[in-house]
Amino acid sequence: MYNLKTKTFGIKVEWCMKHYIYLCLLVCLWTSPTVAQLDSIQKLEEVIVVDRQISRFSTGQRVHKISSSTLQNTPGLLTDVLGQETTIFFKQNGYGMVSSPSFRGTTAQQTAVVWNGFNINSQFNGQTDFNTLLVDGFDELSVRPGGGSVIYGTGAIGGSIHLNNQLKFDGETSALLSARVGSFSTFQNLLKASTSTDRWSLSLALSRFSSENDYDWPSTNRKNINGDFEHYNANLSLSTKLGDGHRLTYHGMYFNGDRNFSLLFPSDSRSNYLNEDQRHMLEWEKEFSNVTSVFKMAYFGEDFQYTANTNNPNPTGAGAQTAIARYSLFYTYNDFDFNVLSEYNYSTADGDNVQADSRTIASFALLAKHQWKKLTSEVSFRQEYSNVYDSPFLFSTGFDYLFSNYVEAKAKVSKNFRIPTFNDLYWEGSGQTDLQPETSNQLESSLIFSNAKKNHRISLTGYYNDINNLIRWIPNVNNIWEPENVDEVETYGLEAQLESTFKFGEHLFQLNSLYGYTISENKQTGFQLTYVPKHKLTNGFTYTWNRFSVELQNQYIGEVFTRSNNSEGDILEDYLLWNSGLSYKFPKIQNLKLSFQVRNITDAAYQTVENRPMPGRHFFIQTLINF
Amino acid sequence: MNTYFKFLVIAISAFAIISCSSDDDNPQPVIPDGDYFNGVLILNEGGSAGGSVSFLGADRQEVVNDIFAEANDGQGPGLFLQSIFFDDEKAYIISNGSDLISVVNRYTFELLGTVDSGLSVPRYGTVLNGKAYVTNLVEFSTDQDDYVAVIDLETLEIEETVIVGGSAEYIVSIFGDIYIQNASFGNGNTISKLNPISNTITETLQVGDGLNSIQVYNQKLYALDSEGVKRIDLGTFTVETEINKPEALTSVSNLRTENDQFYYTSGTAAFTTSISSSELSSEAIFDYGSDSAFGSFYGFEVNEGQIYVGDAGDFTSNGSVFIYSLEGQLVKEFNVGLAPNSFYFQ
Repeated sequence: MYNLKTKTFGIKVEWCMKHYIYLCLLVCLWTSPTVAQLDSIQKLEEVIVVDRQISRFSTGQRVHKISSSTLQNTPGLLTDVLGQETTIFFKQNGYGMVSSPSFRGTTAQQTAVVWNGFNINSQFNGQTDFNTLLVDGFDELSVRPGGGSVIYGTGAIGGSIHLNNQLKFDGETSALLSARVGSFSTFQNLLKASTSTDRWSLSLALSRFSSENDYDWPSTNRKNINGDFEHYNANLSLSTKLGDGHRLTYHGMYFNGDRNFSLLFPSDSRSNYLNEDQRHMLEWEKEFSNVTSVFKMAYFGEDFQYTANTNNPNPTGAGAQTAIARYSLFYTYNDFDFNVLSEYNYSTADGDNVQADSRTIASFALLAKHQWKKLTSEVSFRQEYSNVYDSPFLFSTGFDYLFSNYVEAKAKVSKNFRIPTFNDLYWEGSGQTDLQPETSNQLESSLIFSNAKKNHRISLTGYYNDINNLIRWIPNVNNIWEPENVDEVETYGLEAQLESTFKFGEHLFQLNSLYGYTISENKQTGFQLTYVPKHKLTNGFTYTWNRFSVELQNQYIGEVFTRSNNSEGDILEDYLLWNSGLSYKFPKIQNLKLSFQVRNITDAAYQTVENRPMPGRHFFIQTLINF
Repeated sequence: MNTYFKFLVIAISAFAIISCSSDDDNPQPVIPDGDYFNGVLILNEGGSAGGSVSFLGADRQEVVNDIFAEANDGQGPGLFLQSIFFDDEKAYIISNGSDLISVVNRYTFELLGTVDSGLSVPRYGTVLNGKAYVTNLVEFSTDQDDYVAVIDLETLEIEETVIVGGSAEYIVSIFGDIYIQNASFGNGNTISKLNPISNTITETLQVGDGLNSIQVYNQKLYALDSEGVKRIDLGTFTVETEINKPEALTSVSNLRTENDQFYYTSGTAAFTTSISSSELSSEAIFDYGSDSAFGSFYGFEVNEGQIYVGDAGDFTSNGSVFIYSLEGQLVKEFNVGLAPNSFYFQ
């Protein structure tokens, strides 16, 4: 059985290698000029993003945008990108395995992942596994630290991550092809293409990521066993202007993941996890002079199948479907900006361990923003009604104040929540239907200093977050684990960011440094939550000269406690990681970009979950071509 | 310099001769090498990062945690440690999460070998005539696949597996026979007898519902179920006496026997009753008031006039061990590893 499996893997690797070589050849030989660009088509600068609220109603909060080129240049999954670009700490059961975020010291269910304006956290466990999202095909990734439940609903307590697709009506056609190969038989490919006229726009992306993931466990004589995975992602976006201010837009995504879970001990039974997610949304927008009316319908499906022992397969699985109808009205009047939102959300789930049940949520929100001289203020409210639990009244108030060209201040107060999930409510023999949502009252304020040319910027943010009714699963007398609203947690901390760009002739230097200080305490015991580092520091430095560029990154993660009573000996030690990259664009070959990347240069031995070693030094080569 | 060197050699030789002769004259009891010769081994079930073993010294004053990893280059004994069984100087540590038995020298904890294939959620073991008999739970959804693995202790290979026909949990050997408790997690009411020559289940005895634990004491088998304690004669394999549980006691667990006394627990209190009584006492020796619902009395043992309690707390922080006197006085308290579930005395 085992030998057979190894053999098939061998063939697969060989096949992938061939595939990759062909791809490289294809890319390199493609030197003929692409279709001449049609200059006659009027260039409209308009970019359509369906998540309109993030740019219009984030007063008092800092929104950090991560460009699509960063997404394409970072090997791996969403965890890898955000690990470097944000203060979020990720717990990973070994590389590529289940990845849970802790954003501003909160739990994994308290970070909302928002896809084109819709919350996509799992209906089962309320969180997103950040290693099941391939993000290189998305056009824009935004990180919005702090509460966002008024707009984005459940789970937006620590912050929210926004994956957006963009559509343009600029009459251009472009395509991008990227192929990366690296240590541990890792292959990552991306094809992205878009085309448009002044009435139609189409964009699609296909990506694939696979790895044998059999890295050596540093300072032991063992390899990572049974950690291989293979993921596919497809994005499709389509929009058409119907005239008279009407526009129809569709966004769709499909993810298919096949992952084995790496073993702690070689004799552990080998498990496998398959998951398939699909998300579709259709939007009908009508613009009047100062009113925009937007009607959206969305359908999400999530399915997984878990096999605890692949030698004696007895898989268990579950699936959930969600249908959403949302109507928003945007109204601009003088210095006021209003948005009325109403939404109907129906979800149903069924599985081997979850009783078949459904949940209905209706919600209403009002958002209002006002600009007066240098002060922007925003007030918003949301009330949800559900057939299962009582929902609290949510609100948020934010202010932005421009002291001068150099100094800006922000402040925000909000109430947010996280609703009980299908597992919490309906897990067979354990689910509790009398659970209350978790609630969070929080405040934050920021100071942003920049120079006149805006090429240097320092931001400082302080926050306080009081979280109540936290749901935790606890074993009862009969060893049945049941969820209860037991914990109260207080988190507070500081975030600092320095962004700097220097240009001397053709030499460009870019620096981005982030530091997060995080205290996350259980109010009953006074102890720091497990797996929340008090310190996290990341630095990214890029030097670009003509077609040549060098990148150097590091990441410092402070020690974390692995026991809820913060016992001294039970910690994961702090670590410092270094990554580096080198790239060159060949002018004569369609701007073919060839990159070489080294990760964990110093071969540091580190873990983000107890006894789950992460990979040592490893390498990637990437070719990327635009045409 | 030279004189000094000679003097040193003479001194060393003299010392050697004296030591030798002294050994020859008064043979000392052989003290095995190893830091863990005399004391208590505490097995910590552990969480998703694996379990560990703690050692409490002979004077019961100090506990050393993680002795397995300490002796074996940081490597642990597996996921979800269930129990340990012994054969002379060897200890066999059963990991039900990793389908693994680690064989160590019980005094040094140095790893000697492993049984790493053919097990499926192994639970308890016992040794008879150079073979180990280990119960396996297999699938949680059914008890019809539960089996006993018969392991050759020379080769550490599984020679044979015996389907029990019911739950396979605690296992003991006495008078050349093997007895298996066919009940786990509060379900089950039978005890099976396995003939180690034919490797077949020869008899099954029905006791009360909710069979919790079985103990061998003074050539008898005692079983604790929801009705009380039953004394089983091993010759006829029948229940010969019943010691009833009074109404005042709701549920009882963890039967232990020492010095003609039964010891057992109910909720967060420990109790004792004379082995010759007709009813179990409902008067607690002590109630240690743990706030852990499932983790209270996660481990329980009575040894040489002291009661050892393992408390798993909330399962997300390390557990505690309490030592009580037989009168119910707290003698000592220690922090150990995650979820301490059993004690072994050496």
